[in-house]
Amino acid sequence: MAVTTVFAAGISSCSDNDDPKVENATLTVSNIYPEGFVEGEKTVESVSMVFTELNTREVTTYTSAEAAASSWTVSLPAGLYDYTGVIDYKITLSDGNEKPMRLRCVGNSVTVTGSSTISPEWFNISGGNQNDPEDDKSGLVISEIYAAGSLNAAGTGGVRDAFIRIYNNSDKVQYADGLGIVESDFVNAKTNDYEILTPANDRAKNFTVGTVWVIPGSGKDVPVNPGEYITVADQAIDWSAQVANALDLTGADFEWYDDHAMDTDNPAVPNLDKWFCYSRTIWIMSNQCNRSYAIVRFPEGMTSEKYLAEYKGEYDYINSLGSQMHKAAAYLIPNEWIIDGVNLSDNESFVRGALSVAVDASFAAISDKARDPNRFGHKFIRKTAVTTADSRVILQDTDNSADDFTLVNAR
Amino acid sequence: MEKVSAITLSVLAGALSAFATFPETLPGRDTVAATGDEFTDSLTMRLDSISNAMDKATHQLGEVVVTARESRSVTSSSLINRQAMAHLQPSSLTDIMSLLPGHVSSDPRLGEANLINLRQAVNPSSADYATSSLGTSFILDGVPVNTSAEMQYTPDSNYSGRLSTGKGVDMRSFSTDDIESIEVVRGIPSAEYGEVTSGVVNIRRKRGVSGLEARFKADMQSQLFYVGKGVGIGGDNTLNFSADYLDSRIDPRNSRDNFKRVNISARGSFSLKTSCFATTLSTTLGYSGTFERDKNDPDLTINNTVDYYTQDRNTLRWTGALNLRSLGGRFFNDLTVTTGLSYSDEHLVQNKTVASSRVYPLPVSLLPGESNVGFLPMLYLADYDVYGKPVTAYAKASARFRYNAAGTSSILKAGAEWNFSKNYGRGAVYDLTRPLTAGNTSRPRPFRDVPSMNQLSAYAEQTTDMMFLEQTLQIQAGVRQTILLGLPGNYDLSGRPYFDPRVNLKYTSSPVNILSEGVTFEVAGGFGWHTKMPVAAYLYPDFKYTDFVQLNYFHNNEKYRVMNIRTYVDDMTNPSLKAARNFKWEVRGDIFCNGNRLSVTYFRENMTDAFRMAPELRLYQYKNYDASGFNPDASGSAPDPSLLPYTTEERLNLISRPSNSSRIKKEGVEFTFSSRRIPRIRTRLTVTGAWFRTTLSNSEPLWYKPSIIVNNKELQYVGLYNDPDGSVYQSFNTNFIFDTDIPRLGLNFSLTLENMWFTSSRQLFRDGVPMGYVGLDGNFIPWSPEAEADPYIGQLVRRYAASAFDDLRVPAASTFNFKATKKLLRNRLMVALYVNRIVSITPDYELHGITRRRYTSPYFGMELNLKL
Repeated sequence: MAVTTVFAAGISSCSDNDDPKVENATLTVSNIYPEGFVEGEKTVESVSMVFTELNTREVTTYTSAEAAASSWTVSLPAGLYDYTGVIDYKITLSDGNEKPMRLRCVGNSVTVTGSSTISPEWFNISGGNQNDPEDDKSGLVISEIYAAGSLNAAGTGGVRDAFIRIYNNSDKVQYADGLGIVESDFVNAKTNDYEILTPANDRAKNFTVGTVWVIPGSGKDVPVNPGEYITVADQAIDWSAQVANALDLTGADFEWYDDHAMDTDNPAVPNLDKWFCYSRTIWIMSNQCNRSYAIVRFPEGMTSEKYLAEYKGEYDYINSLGSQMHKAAAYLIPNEWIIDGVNLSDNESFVRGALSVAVDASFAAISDKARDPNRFGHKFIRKTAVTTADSRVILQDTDNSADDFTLVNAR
Repeated sequence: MEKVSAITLSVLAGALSAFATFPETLPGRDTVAATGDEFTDSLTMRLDSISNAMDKATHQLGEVVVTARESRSVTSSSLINRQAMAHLQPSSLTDIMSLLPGHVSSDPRLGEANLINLRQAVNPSSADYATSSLGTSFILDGVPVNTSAEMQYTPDSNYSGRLSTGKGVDMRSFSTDDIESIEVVRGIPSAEYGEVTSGVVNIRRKRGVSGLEARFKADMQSQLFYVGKGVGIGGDNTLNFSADYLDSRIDPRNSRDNFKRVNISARGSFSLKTSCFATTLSTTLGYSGTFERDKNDPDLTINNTVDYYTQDRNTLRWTGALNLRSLGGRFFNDLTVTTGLSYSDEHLVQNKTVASSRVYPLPVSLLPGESNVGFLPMLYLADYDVYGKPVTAYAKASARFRYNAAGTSSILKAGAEWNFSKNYGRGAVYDLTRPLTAGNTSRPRPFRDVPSMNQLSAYAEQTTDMMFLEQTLQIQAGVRQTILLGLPGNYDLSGRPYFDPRVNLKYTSSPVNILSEGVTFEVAGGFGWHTKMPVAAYLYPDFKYTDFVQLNYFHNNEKYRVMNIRTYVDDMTNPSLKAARNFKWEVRGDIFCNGNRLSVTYFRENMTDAFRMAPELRLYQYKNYDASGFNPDASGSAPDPSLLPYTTEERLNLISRPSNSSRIKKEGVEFTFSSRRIPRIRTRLTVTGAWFRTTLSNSEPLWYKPSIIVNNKELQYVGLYNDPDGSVYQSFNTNFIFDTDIPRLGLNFSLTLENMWFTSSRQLFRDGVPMGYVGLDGNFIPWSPEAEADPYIGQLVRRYAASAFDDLRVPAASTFNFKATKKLLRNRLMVALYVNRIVSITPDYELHGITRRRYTSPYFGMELNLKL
């Protein structure tokens, strides 16, 4: 009898109204700006934030033309939000020229109800140091990434006509030798959303990598003129002779050759140096496109042996089953060494990029679904920002790959 | 008064001599009626003993036993009879193993090899610990099932779990309907049984006159049909025929992945009696076929390609046993000659559309040395066939003698057996230029090139019963000797005999009156060594082919392309391979009271030389040709390696070869309580369960080389680690079985509560620091702090997460199973059904702070049995 009563009480408390009523919430944004930003001489041009509700995908935008305030409030429906923010401003350089600068913030899975508060940390992008306007690392950029590969002969998967293209986005000659090309150890997917316990592997400080390739040379051997690029390929062969619709990569400048009985070596194309790789077989780019890639300028005097001895990146982590694990085959790239980096993923499985948000605030998406078979034959290319009077293309580099890259047919 | 005679058994030209002295048979004692039932010999030979009288009281005529019964023999073993099997409604022998203490019911797994795991807390998937199942001997009508020549193999890891090469008997292939009874010896088996490390499964098949029997069973994965009949052909002579067919889908939604089994068997028993001797001849001719198919759905593939795997096994098996029994209490009791022959025809086919993701060089050289190789096409059909034809032969002669002295009765057993096996198959047959997987480094070898295995064994055992004041002490002591014949002289095993002494004791008290009930106590214990010889695949392993690239010149012009490799062919034979030996001991206590029995066994087993493939260090040299100065356009040809300058490269590699470096350690407590049937509710309670602790690890230091590239090269150092690479597993369970038998209604039903109180696993601690390392100079250097600081050698230190060695415990889970059988039409028709996990209680639990939910779904089946 007592049981029945309890059940009855439970039922009567239920509402008959199935209509979801979404309450409006007030969100206070309490900003944390980088050192020197608030006091520094600057002209703020625009302030904007975009809030995306994760369940409804409804987007709320906040904009303000005012100077960046220490806080502001946003009215939006209660929910679970991802957000990004951009502050564009200008500073005056010592030579009197103005330089456009940008601050960004990002946040994930923030619950907003009633009145909530967030404290986004704003950071400077474009590799530049706010306090040293002369510091500009925007010379070389990754202009194209082809990781998925073209369809294989059976149409069941991809082939490895993969490549990375590195472009000189500046107006000065840049040298590519000594440049590191690295792949993240972390996978940018839900299944590998690990909690990293070792402080050195915090992505805000270091980029944890599993593979370190280096373009050989003594420093001035591989010049890249403004507006030109070099191509680094897996197997620099004419793939179109092997599989219909694949690429001819015989013109590549370098190939990553693994000195292994499962790889081929084109004698006409020089090979990269392999400082470190987590696997002793052949290295392939993530054909699911869910890792991060970066080009790296090592400090003066860095050698492979010195790097191997001093930048070990072993780490402890908690996997998705909650077990504490250890990963031995990993190395560290301090974020200051990174010239350019891009997180790759798909929209379905992305959680966070392996790169610091200061290097890439978002990710370039290969597809909406994970392992989408339609990804084959598609490459990422960087958008053109402007073409100069002397018809030099300047590529867009806002360190936000979702915005900077587009996906195009590889052929 | 006592005349002492001596007998010397010279077996194997003196390899074993068993001396036994015994007094002359005392006249006037009851003659023992031997049943010819080999495995209950030790029981039935002493029908006159107190223990058996009690046993008879417990299991009265007509009493239905639907569980495994703990036997009364001198060592721990489980007896499973026809009624228990009928109640269980099994599809294969695998299902029956759920009746053993420590085991719980599980769904059929017909899409993988079903291996036995006696007294183990875990079913190890790693081949490193397969000696446990390999060392369990299955004896069918007196002839052991010999799997030594089993060699079927596929390089495709998706299917290797379906094969049982080197892992022992695949229980899927055994049907249960023509089985009369099974005894599973978990403890120390009689010295009569060899090729054992874990235990013995002794299967006795139905013989004798019976009406036409038929069975039709259906469950969620399979249908099974069986028909059998036993006919009398005059005198005590009988012929039995049976056939059964199992058709199963591994996943009921997928008709393309299935396992089929056909068994046909004819068994004859003929007996002849003279005034002095009774002669029995039993013979069996059987066919057994298993057919596995796994095809993809062409409608689901992009280009409608059909990939498939099939493995067919057709086996013909003949056994014959001639038993000559003396009538009238002579010293000589009986002589049995058992023979067996089997021939299997096995054919594995794998067809696979291989679309390469890159241009793969194609090393196919079967000989060591330098060669130029071609390249694999980007799309091809791989057609891979493996033909196996294992043949086994078996012969055994065994004799029993009995004699009585004052207050004692003894049986002496002695015998010798010969075991032969060879695979006459062609092995893997495929086009080397069209391998199943690109980058395949293996090369085919005909199975028939592997020499035959000949094993000779002999044993002698004495069992003595001493009776005093209604108490009995039974002592069984025996020794078994085994030797492999015809091995190459450099093998350690060549000409090396192994001796397995085994001793079992059992003391039975006289009944003591406690609360006006007669209570009898029994204490038993034993110890012994057990030897399992390596199978042919371990004794004569395949060669290992390693290819090093010397010149990789993939020119844009196809004409100028050349790929030169150096092939090394390593003989993987380990001449110092030994037999695996297990030392077991156990203690058992029993209490009998008014038809109730409690039996508790504590056991320990320690095997430190179980088989595994262990890494072995090899140093290779090859050339690194420099073609940078070569201009193919000028010469109009591809570079000729012999004209190119080169540097010599060295590489340290680890290759696996068979070794004795696995440890399998088992410890535990098994218990069985069986009540008598409570008259009013006609219900009996059986409680079985066990606590097992199993340690699986390496028993010797292991080599390890991290799979990394540093500075353009594989690591040039290899470390030797003394760390145990293994885990400790535990499980504790109880099964409460309430079975009710109502003969008036022809109804029998049981409710089983299975509690798995916990299972756990814990990795053994490792510090990850090598004992030392070897570089390209081949010298072993002990570990030092300087080594750790070296950018290359330091990579050898293996680190582990702090919680890597935590005990991972899965807490209690309970399930209820229900089974019922109902007889109709004057017992001619029996319908039966079972539902496993009709109710499950699987509480959520936390591990590493994450809540785990467990889901179960019921599994059910039903069947019809006809008896005409």
